[in-house]
Amino acid sequence: MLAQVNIWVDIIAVIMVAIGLGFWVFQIVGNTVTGRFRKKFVEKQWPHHDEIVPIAPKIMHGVHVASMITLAVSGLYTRFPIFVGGREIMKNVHFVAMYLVCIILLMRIYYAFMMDGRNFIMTLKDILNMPRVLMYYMFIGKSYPHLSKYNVMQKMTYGLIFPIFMVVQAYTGFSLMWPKILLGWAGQFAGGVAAAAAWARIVHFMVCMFLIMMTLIHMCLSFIEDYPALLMFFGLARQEVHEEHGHEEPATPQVAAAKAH
Amino acid sequence: MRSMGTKSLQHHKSPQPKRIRSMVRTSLIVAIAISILAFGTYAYAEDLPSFTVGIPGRSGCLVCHGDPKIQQNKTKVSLYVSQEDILQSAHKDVACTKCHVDFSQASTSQAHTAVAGDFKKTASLACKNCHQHSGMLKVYSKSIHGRLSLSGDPKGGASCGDCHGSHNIKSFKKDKAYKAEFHLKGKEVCGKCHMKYYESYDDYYHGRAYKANAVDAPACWDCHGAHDVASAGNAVSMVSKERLPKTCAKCHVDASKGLVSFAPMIHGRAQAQDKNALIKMKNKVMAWFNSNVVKNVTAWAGR
Ligand code: HEM
Repeated sequence: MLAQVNIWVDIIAVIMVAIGLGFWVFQIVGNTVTGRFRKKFVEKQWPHHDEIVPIAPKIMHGVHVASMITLAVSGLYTRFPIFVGGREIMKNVHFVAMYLVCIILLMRIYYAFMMDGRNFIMTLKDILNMPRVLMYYMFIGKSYPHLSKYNVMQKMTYGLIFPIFMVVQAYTGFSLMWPKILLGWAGQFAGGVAAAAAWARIVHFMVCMFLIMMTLIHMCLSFIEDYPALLMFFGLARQEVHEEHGHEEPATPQVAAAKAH
Repeated sequence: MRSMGTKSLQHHKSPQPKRIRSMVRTSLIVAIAISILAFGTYAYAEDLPSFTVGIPGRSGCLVCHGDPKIQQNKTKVSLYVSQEDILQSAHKDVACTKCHVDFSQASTSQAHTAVAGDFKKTASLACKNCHQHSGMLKVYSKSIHGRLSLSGDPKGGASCGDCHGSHNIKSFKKDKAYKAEFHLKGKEVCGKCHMKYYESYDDYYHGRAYKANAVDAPACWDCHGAHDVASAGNAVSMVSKERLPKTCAKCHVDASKGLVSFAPMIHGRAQAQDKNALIKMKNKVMAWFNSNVVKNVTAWAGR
């Protein structure tokens, strides 16, 4: 049974990467055809921001990106050892990065509670806004109402899906190291702790691929929707702040929509 | 044994150098004559007489067999034994005849053996004659390899030397680096006869990792056993249904039924891939595409 499950898991992994890359193609074509690219990259109609992003989230994001890439590369090597002799080093690299990513995750959650948690709180308005946001991304709608710093899809991804999946990833990851402690409870369902660990491994790999897919989409949108903010967030450009800008009266629908990023 | 051959050449401080020199010359001539008679059936590809003398540091059997050019006349199989290998081996202080027990000075046969037989096989199983290895022999003689090999079954079973090597044999106990090196030699050790199984050893965490030199991935014998190896269908085999939980538990905590049900993947990944409905469909589509589209397009382009 596990053999078949593993084969399916690989197929799903390929599909997820294909979705992530396909999303890039879809967005590039859509943005070109609808003229959004011209407006942004040629006419420089980028979203306006009304507050300076503090340094702490930028640093945490930077360290998080670096450790996630390291985890993905070293983790994927564990499953697909495509070159000879990298096992020990990849394993150690994964171990260092996993502690780092956990520390950053805890710090970011703490920071959210103390400083910017409200940005991620989803309201009924947000949920009602969802169809229009989705239509905007699918190039069916020209814009959507701008309600807060993040749109509903961002709030859902950053505030809910990502933290949940990271916790699952950390839990399954640590349970591969300490199966007896962390999977004792699951042993009775799976037919032993070792079997539970084998399943945990599958979940760990699937979450990894899911996160890779989500990251591809996240990278695509942050690049296309607000390239200057992307540069700024990685400390590659200075942030321009427009104090006078009001949320209710966006300059153009596109700008308002894109501002959410 | 190795110190015999060149000793006479070393007495330079004799009071009668002329006499000694002529004695040396005579003994050299005699030695060459004996060698030519004794090894008449062996020949060199190039210069014939040079191998018996003038090779510093070599003695005994290595006077001849220490020359890289020595080979069997008919088959051209090399009969060379590397002195370096011997000096680094666990058996460096063991005389050649301790393993080549069928060696006979009086023999005129090609392999210097007194009795007809496979001198290689004899040497390869000679470990059984040594007290230190008698414990292993007990286990080995019950294994599938041992039973075939010791009974002289024509199918043949791997004998000691087939897995452990011969002149370069090393001790796992004393040489930890060699033990680690040997761990990665599944292809050379088991693959020699069981290549099909070595190739199918291709799952994610065992086979693939092993083939990428992962030190924590199991070698063939970690699961199948070494001296006690038995065919998988046999209940005493480490990979039999009965014993598998215990075998997997060498690495996996609480490896009960649930985990054991995953074991077929270890040698069955390729089959599982072939059985997968989506992959089957993809293969069919690709086959159709190749035979209809690609073929037609290339035919059209070739016109
Ligand atoms: C968050 C904390 C994490 C912990 C504690 C953790 C821990 C582990 C451990 C212990 C292993 C097994 C290594 C081995 O077999 O030697 C592993 C494998 C792996 N990790 Fe992580 N990891 C974490 C995060 C991640 C992340 C974020 C990713 C990907 C983005 C990832 C991807 C993988 C992959 C693909 C494997 C191989 C899975 C397989 O064997 O199928 N890990 N991880």
